[in-house]
Amino acid sequence: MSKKIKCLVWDLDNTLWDGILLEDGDVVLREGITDILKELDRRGILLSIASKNNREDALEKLREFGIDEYFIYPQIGWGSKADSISEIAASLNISTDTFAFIDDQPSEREEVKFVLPEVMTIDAAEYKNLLQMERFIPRFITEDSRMRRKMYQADLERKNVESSFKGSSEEFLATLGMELTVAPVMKGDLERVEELTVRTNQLNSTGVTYSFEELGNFITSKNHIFLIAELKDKFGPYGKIGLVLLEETEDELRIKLLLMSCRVMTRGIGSALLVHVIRLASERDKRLVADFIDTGRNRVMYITYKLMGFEEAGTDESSEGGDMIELVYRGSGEKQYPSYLKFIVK
Amino acid sequence: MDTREKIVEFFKSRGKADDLAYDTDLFKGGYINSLFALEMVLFLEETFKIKIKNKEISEKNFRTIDSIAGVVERSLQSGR
Repeated sequence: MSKKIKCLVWDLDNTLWDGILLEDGDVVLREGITDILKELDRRGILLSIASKNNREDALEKLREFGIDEYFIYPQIGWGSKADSISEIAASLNISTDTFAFIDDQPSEREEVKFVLPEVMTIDAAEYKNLLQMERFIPRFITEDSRMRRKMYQADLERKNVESSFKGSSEEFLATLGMELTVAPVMKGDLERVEELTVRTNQLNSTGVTYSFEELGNFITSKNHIFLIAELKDKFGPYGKIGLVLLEETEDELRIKLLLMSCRVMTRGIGSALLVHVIRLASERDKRLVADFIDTGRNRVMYITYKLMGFEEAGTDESSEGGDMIELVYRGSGEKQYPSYLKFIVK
Repeated sequence: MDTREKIVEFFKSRGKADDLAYDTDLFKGGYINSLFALEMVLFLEETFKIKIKNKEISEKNFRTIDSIAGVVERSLQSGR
C-alpha cells in the first residue's frame, strides 16, 4: 500500500492560480483553492512550491492572496522541478515517497516522474478532488498534525539562529530556553504514540511497534509506566516528541522502549529522559535494565545508553544486528538533569 | 599532531579547553556530557577514519583525554 502523503508540492501558474504571472500580472486564485490549502494544512500535510517564476514577484503575489504562510521551503526559480522537490525533501528531512506534486503541464509531471518515480504526480485539473484522495486522508488527525507546519517553521527559525551561533552546542542549547515536560500517556495521546512508534527509526531503542490495543493496555497496566515527553522552546512547540515505556517487577525496572522524534536529534533529550528513569529506579530502589535491539539505524541510541553508564550484560559483544541486547545500569542513582533545559514532571 | 592534541583541538573548537589536562575527569569537570560524547564518537570516527566498536563505548573509556586516545589507538590497530 502506498504511503500517506506528508508533503504536497504546488506549481503556481495555471495550477494554484489561473493565468501566467510573468505574462498577465493580475492572476486570480483558482476557485476554492484557499479552503483546500487550509484543510490540507489542518490534516498535517505540509505544502510547498516548485514554480518557474521570478521568486520575489511570486512570493509577493502569495502574500497579496494572504496564503504565503501555508508554504514551507518554496522553490521558485528556473531550476528543474525534480531538483526542487529533492531540495524540499532534504530540508524537511522527509523521504520523497511521501511526496506529491501537482502541475498543469504534462512535461513537468513527466520530468518529476522520470527522476523521482516514487513521487505521486497529479494533474492540476484534478485539484478539486485532492481532499478525497485516499493518500491525502491521514488515519488520524492529532494535535501534532494540526501544529505540524508551525513546528517546521519554528525549526527553520531555530536553524537560522543555530548556524550563526558561535560557541559550544550546550551553550547554544542553553539559549533556547527548552522545557521538557514528561507526563503519563493518556488515552487521547494514543494516536500520537502510535504515530511516533511507526515514524521513528534512528532514535528508537528497539524498533518494536505495538498495536493500538497493546499501547492502550500499557496505560492501564499495573506493572507498566508509560510516559510521553513534550518539548517547547522560545521559538515555539516541538509537540509530543518522546516516549518511555517501563516494565516494573519486584526488584527491577526495565526500559522496554525509549524513542524520540528525529526533529530533536541534537537537543540532548535522550540523556534528559534517561536521567529521569535512573532517578525513578533509584527512588524505588530497583535494578535498572534496558532492552536494546540493533536495527542497523539506531546506533545513536546505543551510544546514548552506554555513555550514561549502561553496560552490556550477558550478550555476545560481537553479535551484529537483530538480537536483543540487555543493558544494565551500573552508574550512580544521583544523576543530575542537564543544565540546558528545564525538566517538568507531571 | 598526535592523537591527544587532536582531541584537545576538538574540545577547543567547542570552547571547552580551559585548564584541560590529559588526565582531567571530563565528566566531573563538566567538559563532557552524553550529548557531547556522542558528537565526540562521530568526530573520532571521522578524523581518524576508524570504526569504534560497541564494547569500546563506555563512560570509563571517555573519562579522560588519555582514555579517549586509548580508544582511538586500539581502534586503529584492530582496523589494520
